Amino acid sequence: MDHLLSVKNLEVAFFTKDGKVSAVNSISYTVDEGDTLGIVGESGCGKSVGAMALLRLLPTPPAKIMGGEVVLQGQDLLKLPQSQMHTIRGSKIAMIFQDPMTSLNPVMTVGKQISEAVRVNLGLGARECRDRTIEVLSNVGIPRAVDRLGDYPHQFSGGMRQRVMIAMAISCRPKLLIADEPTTSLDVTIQAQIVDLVRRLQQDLGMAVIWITHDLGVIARIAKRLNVMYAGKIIEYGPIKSVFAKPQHPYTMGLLGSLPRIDSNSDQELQFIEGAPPDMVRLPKGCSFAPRCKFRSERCLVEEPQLVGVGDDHMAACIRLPEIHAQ
Amino acid sequence: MINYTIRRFVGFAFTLILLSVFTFALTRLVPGTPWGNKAQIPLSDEQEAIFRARYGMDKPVTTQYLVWLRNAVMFDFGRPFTAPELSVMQLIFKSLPYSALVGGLAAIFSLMFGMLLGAVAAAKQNTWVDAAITSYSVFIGTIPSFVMAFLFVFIFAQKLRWLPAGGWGLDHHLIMPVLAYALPGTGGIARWTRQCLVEAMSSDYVRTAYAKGLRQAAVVSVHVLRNASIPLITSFLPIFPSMMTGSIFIEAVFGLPGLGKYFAQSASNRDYPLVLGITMFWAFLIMTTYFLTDILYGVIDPRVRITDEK
Amino acid sequence: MVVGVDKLGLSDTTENVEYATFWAGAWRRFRRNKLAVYGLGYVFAIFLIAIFAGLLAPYPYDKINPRFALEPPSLLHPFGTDALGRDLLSRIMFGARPMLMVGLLVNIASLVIGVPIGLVAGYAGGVLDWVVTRLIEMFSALPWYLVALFLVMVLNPSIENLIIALTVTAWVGPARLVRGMSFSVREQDYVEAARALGIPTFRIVVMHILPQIAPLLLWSFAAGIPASAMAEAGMSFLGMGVRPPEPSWGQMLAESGQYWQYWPHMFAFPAGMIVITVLAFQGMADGLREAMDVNTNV
Repeated sequence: MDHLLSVKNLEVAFFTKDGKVSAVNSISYTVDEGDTLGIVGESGCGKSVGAMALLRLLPTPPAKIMGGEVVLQGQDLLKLPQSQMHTIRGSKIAMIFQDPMTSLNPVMTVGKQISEAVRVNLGLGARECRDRTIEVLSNVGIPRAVDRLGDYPHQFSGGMRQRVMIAMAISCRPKLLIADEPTTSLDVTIQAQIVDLVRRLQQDLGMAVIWITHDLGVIARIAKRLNVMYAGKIIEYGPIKSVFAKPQHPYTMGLLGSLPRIDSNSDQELQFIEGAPPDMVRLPKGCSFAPRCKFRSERCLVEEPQLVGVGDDHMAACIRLPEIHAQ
Repeated sequence: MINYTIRRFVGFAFTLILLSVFTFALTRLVPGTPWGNKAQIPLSDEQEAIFRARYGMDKPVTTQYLVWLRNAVMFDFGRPFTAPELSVMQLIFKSLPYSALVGGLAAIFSLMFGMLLGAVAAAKQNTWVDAAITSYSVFIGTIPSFVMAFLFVFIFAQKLRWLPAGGWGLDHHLIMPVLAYALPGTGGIARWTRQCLVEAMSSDYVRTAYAKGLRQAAVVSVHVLRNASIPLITSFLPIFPSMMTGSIFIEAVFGLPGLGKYFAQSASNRDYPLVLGITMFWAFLIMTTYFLTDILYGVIDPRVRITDEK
Repeated sequence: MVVGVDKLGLSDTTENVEYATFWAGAWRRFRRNKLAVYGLGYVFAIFLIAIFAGLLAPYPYDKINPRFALEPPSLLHPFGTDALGRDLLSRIMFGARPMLMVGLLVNIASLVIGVPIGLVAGYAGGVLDWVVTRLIEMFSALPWYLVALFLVMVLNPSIENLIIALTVTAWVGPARLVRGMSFSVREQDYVEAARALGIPTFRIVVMHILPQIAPLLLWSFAAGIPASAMAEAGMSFLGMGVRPPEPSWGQMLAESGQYWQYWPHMFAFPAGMIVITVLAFQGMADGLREAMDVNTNV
């Protein structure tokens, strides 16, 4: 079966004044047509960097893609020269970002920004671009879209701005939408609206979605499969129901355990994971999570764990799985 | 937009009034009379009384202010001691074209060269080119224009004998003054240009532009340059009046027929009317430019004018 | 087998985070900038020279010796002599004084005047702020050299009067910066919290706002020095600075006017000192800006 997107052993490093940072350490995953993949992890675990690497949006003086394959419909994107990437961006893969206020050009009207995308990717004339712009703006739920074409980003509210960004992203009907923390800076109620909007658009357009967040509540609402990342590696992945119901990796267990639940007693203490994320310049030997893991053993500090299967397409990278889950 | 313009204008008018009060206060600071014992031509008491009445110095302060203000509005600042056959304004207008020409040309050169350097530095960020341009910028600004002028005369006039050491002419006589005046400013302009460009280039909306599928040329011209030009234009416009009015040191060194000649003399002659007149006139010019720049800013940056209306 | 923390000696594997204070971190960054460090060293040296000029200078700066007039650099006079036979090296050493004094004092005075005005305007807002902004606008439009020239003419040329004259237009710089910053700091949550707790305004300003703007002020001070120093050179060049025979580099430049074409040393040394000194201060100010990571476009 052919996947829409197949990422194999992607490695991204940053060369900074303080040394080499291995932001993404050989990750592999696949996305099928119409699929929804969630990527969760703490800040700095490499989830955004990994996503931006797919579209080669990383600034290449400090960043460098060290190796791997990114195959989109049979074509390895990493082998494309930078000057050709514009044929993929916007038209085949689109991306939306966290802060819609800074991600939209403040001195350009919203209508023009969307029309620009349509014109560049689909080569339509001015009138058709305008029509398409109105169409997508209405589609994402902007009322009286025609009147708002000449408005500037600062004249919209936060949630509306993100809708504008989504409109811009889907205007050319991409096969894959990458959403990098699109709801993090929004109100909870608006968050739900945006998530539902993306779900509806996904169904209507047959689009695959990669949704990146650190918010487990949001991901539960939209993702079908989940990658859990830590320190630049995917330490667990699988169908979301399986990962939520039976988390395997101690980190995942810690993440889920730290969520307050509606059905818990009010005097139960919130669990948290001790310690702090590692310094990415000096990663510890062995398992990067070991220093914070309450199940660690001496072997954990030496051996790097590989992904092992624990169920139906559900894998986790930990050498102590049998002992941890011996019940 | 109208609202914005009106508010700016009110501010401008108020500042002008402040300027007039300040300048008038300065006039009151002149100690004694300009024709006292230390003057070149001592006067008898009656002659002094006549002069006092003539200059209206026998009336109360507020009246004097209003009289002065009325004159100032008509740009009448009296007569300079150094050249009493002319009024201050006549003197200014006689020499203004030369100062404006030298200053204007220097401003144009400074801006063009400085912006070019800044753009190159931004394009080649973090390479040796960038570092070299930054070092140049820091260094060039530390050389006062009159030192630069001296250096130029020494190298090009004396040693190489390529250019004349002084004098006026609409030809190669202009080269050294303009260059000496323009060069120190290029450093600051280059740095500010680089900064504005880099800020625009590393912004999120540029990332979005690439993510949309735009090519580099389109991103740079439509998004980077457009956005960077807003802070650039608004900070570079005032350079013109400020350079046109500040060429005084250069003129003194090169002997150009601008105000510089009178400026240097007015120091030793205690020519208060001239200095005050120039001060007020220059300040007025510069403030007007700031005001116009503000209006322009409102036109080109929609954030400014639209928040005002809503 | 799960082992406890201490038995595994885990403190070696987890990186110890350095909790440096802001100033310690800034100093480290400052040290990385070569120009800034050399600048600092030079500034230190020139201050010492200026202060101890009386002891260091080989000759008194006003010792006239017509027999040795207009001599190029020699063993006896390492920088040569001027038109009156005065030793240039000594005059250069003493000439540092006016520039440094003006540089320091004008900026200190500007801070003393400008900071409170800026703070009040920025924090209080409203009409008061509007008026202060108009005032700042007015002073910004005035050509500083004209106002300074006028005031020195009125008060008679001397170092003290020059300092006063320059301060009259210089206070605007810090005031503008401080006003801008206190405007933004005032909106911060911790200031609102302080207000809600009933902390008196004065305390809020001094204990919460000032520390936030301190780095910006330090930079403003450091960056103002080269500007004031150049102003002193320019004014002395016009004869509106120190009274002769006390030397100032700007004044020495003017004195060299008739002679420098044949005796370039009279021009080269004062000009060189001006450029190097201003450069050193500028380098320091830039280094400070980078080290403290201040945004100077407020």
